[in-house]
Amino acid sequence: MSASLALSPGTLALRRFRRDWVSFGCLAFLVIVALVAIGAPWIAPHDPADADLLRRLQPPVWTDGGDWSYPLGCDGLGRDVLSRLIFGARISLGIGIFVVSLATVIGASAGVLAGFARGIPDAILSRIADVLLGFPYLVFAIGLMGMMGPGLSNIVLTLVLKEWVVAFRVARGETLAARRQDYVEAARALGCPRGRIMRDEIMPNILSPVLVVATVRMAGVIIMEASLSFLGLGVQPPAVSWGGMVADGRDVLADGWWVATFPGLAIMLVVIAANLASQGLREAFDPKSRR
Amino acid sequence: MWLAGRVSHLLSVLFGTSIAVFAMMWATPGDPVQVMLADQRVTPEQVTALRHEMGLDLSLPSRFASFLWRALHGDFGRSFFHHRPVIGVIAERLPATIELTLAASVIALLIGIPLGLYAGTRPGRPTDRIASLGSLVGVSMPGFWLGLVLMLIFSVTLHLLPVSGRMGSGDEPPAVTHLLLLDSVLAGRPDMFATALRHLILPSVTLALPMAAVLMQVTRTAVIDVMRADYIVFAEAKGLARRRILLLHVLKNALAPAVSVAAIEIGAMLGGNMIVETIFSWPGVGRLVVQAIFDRNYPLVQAAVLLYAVFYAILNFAADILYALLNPRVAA
Amino acid sequence: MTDPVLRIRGLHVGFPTDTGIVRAVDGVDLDVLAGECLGVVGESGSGKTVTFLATLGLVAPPGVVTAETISWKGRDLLKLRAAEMRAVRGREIALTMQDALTALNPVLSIGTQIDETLAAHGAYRSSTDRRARAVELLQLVGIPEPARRLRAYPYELSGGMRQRAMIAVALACGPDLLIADEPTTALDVTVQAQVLELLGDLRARLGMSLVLVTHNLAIVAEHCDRVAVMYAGQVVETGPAVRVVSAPRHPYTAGLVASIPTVDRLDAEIVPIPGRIPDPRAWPTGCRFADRCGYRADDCATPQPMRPATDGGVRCCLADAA
Repeated sequence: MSASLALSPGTLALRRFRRDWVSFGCLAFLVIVALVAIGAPWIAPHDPADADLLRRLQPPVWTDGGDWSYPLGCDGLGRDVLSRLIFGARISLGIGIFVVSLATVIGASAGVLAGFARGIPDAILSRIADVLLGFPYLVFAIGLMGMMGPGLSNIVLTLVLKEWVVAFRVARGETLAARRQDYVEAARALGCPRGRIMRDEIMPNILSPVLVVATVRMAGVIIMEASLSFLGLGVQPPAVSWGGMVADGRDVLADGWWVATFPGLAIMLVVIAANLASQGLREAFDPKSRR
Repeated sequence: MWLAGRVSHLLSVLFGTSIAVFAMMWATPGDPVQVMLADQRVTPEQVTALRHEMGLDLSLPSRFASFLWRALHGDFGRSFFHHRPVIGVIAERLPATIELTLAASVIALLIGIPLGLYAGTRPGRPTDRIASLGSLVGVSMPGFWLGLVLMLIFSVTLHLLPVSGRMGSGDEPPAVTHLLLLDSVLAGRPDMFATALRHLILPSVTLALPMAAVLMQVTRTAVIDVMRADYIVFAEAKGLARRRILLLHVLKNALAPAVSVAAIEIGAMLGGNMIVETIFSWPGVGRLVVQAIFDRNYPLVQAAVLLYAVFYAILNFAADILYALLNPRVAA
Repeated sequence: MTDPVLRIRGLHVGFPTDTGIVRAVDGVDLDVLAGECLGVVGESGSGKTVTFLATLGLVAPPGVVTAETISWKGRDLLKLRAAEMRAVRGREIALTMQDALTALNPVLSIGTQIDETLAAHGAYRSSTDRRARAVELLQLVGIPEPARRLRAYPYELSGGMRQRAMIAVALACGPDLLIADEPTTALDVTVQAQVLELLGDLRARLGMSLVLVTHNLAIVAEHCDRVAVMYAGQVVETGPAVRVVSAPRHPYTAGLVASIPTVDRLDAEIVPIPGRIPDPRAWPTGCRFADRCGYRADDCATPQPMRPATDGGVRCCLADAA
């Protein structure tokens, strides 16, 4: 579209991001976790659902009674914590990525539409967004999940329903600003159909703020899914989720601290990495935002 | 006028919210009454009675109108499981949740804002780095995990604090405000106060920490921004004392965004409540709702969600007002 | 010749950055005489604002301020403790800034901002007295309906009113020296004249010294007694305003004068000074204006000291020949 010699903002941002070794490292960490999750059936030492009451509450390898075949110990049903941790990554990370991606696509499209078309579509969409925002996150999720019943598709639906609003607001705001720019005026003056304008002129320019917000939200979605699973409203057994593992650990807290600790630690590390990586991404696109 | 705009926004959000909550009810797969009564032994007459109570024999618009009308009068139907009106069951557990949320909010404000102010005036220095790291961990840590870890350390290992409940097996002070801490003070019973406090610490700290972390970040960022402003240089040029500059010139400007965030975070606490109350067996509304979900006690869930949403909307409205008081330019 | 109330000798202000130390002020000597209006002229980056921020002790770390002396009415400001310096600021020396909209705290009323200045310096014990004084101040600067305006917030006033309000805040305790940093830059032309007139009026009435820091030589020519021209962190010429503008001795000053559009030269081209100010992280060793100077000579490669003259001084090798 542009035949300039200068680097596109995207390339510039990418360079800055690569130099920020903290954020880059976090992103690398997340990619590794994702790869481990994908390769779970081959990487995990044991079947996550394999229960053996003889191994019940076997402690981690570095304490008395532990052994290397179950490095992080076993849970209340004798299942290997490490393997469950690896398989759990699929749900926890997978839902995070999928929900944010879907919500961003839906929300950003709706936002561009609302911002560009104004009038009735904007009024309706904005009203809906306001109402959805009017619910505290977990209250909404618990309420809806409570009604619909647990399960993977219901969680995804509930979380996407809450998340699209964020992308919507950002996209709408950026579109409203972009609309006033000269290049949009020029396109309209040339008689470009509105759909083309939205797609070719506006969308590329709002991409970076929308992307930054999406990565920020991932951390929140991961915690949300874990919270729902903890309460028992998430994916159901035999599917493994880190939140569910913490819930299992709660029952045996006094006798087996490792059962709840490791999945919680995993959640925290992934979320910290997501937070730092998204912060780095934001600073890469807008270095002035660094404090 | 700006105020009128805010009020009308509040009302329209409230209306939209009630529609959404109403719609939620029908998100259940299949017939809600069947699902509710699946594990119960009921007569066909009771089923019909329940259908009538829930307004299922009406058309959709009249169902909504009836729902709204009754909600405005505090009638959310009867809880089949408690054999009492839903509103009564909720009202009973409300003080416990209020006490918990209040305590957590106070803790979060008292930790988050001063820490943010302190860190913001010394950006990049060691104290700031530590505080920022702490805040990152605070927002990244799942609340349910934090609660369990604290429980593990303080209750299970160190036996310093109780594991669950609000008052243990001891007596309760005579109910005046229904807030145990206050009531024990009013009744002149320091022993009860101590017991109530010991039970309150872990749950309220667990609930407070994420909010404190966010507040600290927001305040810190706002303070850093404000400190760069010309009006701070001008205030110093006038010869004002450092303390006054910080506590009035800086804070009044920095607090405004913090207030909006605080409102959102308290709203998040309404959800976090459910988790914390479940972990610590705190007898509040949150735990009631989670239980009700598994009991499939839908009228109760619906009522609680609506009440939470209404409270949240009013809270945000109040935050908008407070923001305008701090920063009058907004209402111009 | 009256004694100077403010004597600055050998002032250096440096700001360490990732790419080197920015020597914003590099060896400045300046005098302000009692009751005079001194104009300090220079472009952005000349160090004119930082000079006076340093005088008031408002340069925060990592900035470093060193000087032989900054003497105010005989006291060395550099040797004062923090509390003593705070007593000087606002009470004896006051500062106004370029844009009143950003200089005044947006969330505090004008009245509060005047009141706190009075309270900070212990004048007027009772709040009623302070309020009366505040009304008096607003009247002094020519703001109509002063009592009502006390409750106003900065954004509620027009640009010109705001500037006057800021001046009122600065003058609350009746300082002996007012440093006005770019008092007119943020204003419309018509309002500029009013504000300058006000400043001159106040100077006469209150008997205070006034420093006008500006990039606009034309203002200085009209309203100041003496002028100091700054370039690249140094003072390059001083002297009576009328003489400096009509017969400048430094090529930079000459360039500034030439770029003022005047009524009698409407058809003439406005001649800008070619080139740009050198990098403040690495000032050239010789004359800093040499690259842009039309009179460049071999001598200009050596460091140029200030050459004193009967009515001021000039930092230029051309003066040696004269």
